[in-house]
Amino acid sequence: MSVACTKENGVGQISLSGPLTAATVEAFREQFAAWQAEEATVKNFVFDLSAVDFMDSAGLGALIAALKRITERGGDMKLACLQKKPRMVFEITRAYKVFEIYDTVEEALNAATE
Amino acid sequence: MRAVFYTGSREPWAAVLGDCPWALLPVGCRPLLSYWLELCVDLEITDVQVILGQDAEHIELFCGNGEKWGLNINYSFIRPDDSPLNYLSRDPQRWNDGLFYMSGALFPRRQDGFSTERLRELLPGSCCTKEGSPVFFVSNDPQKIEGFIQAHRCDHSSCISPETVGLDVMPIGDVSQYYDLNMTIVRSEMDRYLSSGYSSSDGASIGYNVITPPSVSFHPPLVIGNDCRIGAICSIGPDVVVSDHVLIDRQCELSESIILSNTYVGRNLEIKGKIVSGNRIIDPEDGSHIDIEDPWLVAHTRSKNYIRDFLRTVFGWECALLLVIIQLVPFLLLYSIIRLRRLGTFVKKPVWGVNGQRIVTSYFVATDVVPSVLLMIFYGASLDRFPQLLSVLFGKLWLCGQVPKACGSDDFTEGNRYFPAVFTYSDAFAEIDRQMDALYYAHTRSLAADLRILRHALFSRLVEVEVIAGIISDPS
Repeated sequence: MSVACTKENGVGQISLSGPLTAATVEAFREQFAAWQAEEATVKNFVFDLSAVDFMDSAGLGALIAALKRITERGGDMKLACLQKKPRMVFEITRAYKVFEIYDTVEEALNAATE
Repeated sequence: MRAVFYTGSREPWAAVLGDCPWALLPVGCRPLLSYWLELCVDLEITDVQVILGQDAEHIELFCGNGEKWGLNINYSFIRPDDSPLNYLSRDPQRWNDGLFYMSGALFPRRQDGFSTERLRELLPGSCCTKEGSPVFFVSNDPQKIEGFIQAHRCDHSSCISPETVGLDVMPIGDVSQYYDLNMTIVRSEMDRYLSSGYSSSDGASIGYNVITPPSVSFHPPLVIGNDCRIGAICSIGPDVVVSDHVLIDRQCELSESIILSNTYVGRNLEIKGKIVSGNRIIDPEDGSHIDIEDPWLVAHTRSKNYIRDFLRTVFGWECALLLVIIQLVPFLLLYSIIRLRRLGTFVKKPVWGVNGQRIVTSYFVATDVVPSVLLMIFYGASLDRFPQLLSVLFGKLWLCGQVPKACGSDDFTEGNRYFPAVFTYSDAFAEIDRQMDALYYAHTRSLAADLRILRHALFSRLVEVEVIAGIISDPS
């Protein structure tokens, strides 16, 4: 799992790559928390999941934990480019009701900057 | 009149749905094959011959001797590349009293206005084809039967279509068709397949030993199989097919979905418009699927037969180690002499190993057609298998099983009934057909069968050394 964090118009763009599962979720948490600590002014985030080919309940839990932390700080979190297999996990766990999901990163960034 | 059913054909779409053979996939909550057998009952046929292929033991376990349906069921195998029509032509006189033939994934769908009494109108002759090949034939006319068996095709001019009596023989060609068929049956056609004494007036059919707390809400139409447990505050339906041995944890919502046998659906999930088979979720639109290695979401309720395979692995590994220790010194001595005298050598060939891995293993090839005493001893002591025994130690081959298949340019297509091994039935019975041998082994696989193969392979080769010496190992 690789995590690339950038800032675009004041919005944090987190690009994840690889499977987001129990085996990789710790690396994601650590890298995201470290970047969040460095960029304390960034409140809104867009997670680019175009390169996440698989996700399990632990991965989903990590995203929900991230959402909770971001909203507690008064920010917002949006997901973009959800692939077919992770989308099935979102569907069966009803996670799609919790997250705002966009087809493209641009759409998500626009929504986050509004 | 006899029925011949061929369940051994490969149906690639069914592989996506898990380990269940296509003939046992539920349609409305009953296995597809049970509809075929009920058709026999309706046609007053009692003798049924089921031609098996892959996953034969599951089909035999389900059908048994046929007494559940009042039938007399017998079984036979044909080679995977052989046609069931060739099977019929082996003894054409056997079918003179009448023949009812079905082959491949077909669902005998009862159309509006169907009645079992009218089925007998098919007996003078009825057939249908799929992509030019006959898949359904029934007749009690010896001439038509002979023509069908000899020509391997349907004579549509003298046969009627089954649709004339309200029977639509429907081929299932992909996951989408399978899903649509189930949805159609559960929505509007379930009552066409219920026996007298059952009622589906509310559109809900629930099997035996299904435990549901009072808080579960059912929204018909729906079908639930036998031995299921449904957790509290679940909402089931509409348009749901739940097969046998399914556990649905609490607070789940299921609609427009098929849950196949032996599946656990985790807590608080929403399954809509999907097929779930064990830990696999399948999108019926395009057959794409995801395997979830996360028992909190969806999982198998029954483990695969890991203990049996574990015992066979331990037994095979220890025996292989023992054989390697015994054979090491004789192998080094004899093979050195054989190499010096240029009597033979090992050649490397790529084969499919355990779990479909591409491996390279060595096979001994004698250079001289007339075997020398040295070669006879080499073969008789099974020293020609020494390199393959090393592959067993590294987990690449089983000790006893099927002849490994040579790798081609294609991907691995042998399925989950492939057990490549060092010693096989063909080591003990030189005249055996290797494909039949492989099917038979997959069917009878057990520790006892392995011991039998090993005993024959080691001792028969030693005793009948002069015969064995003439056989040159060849993976193809």
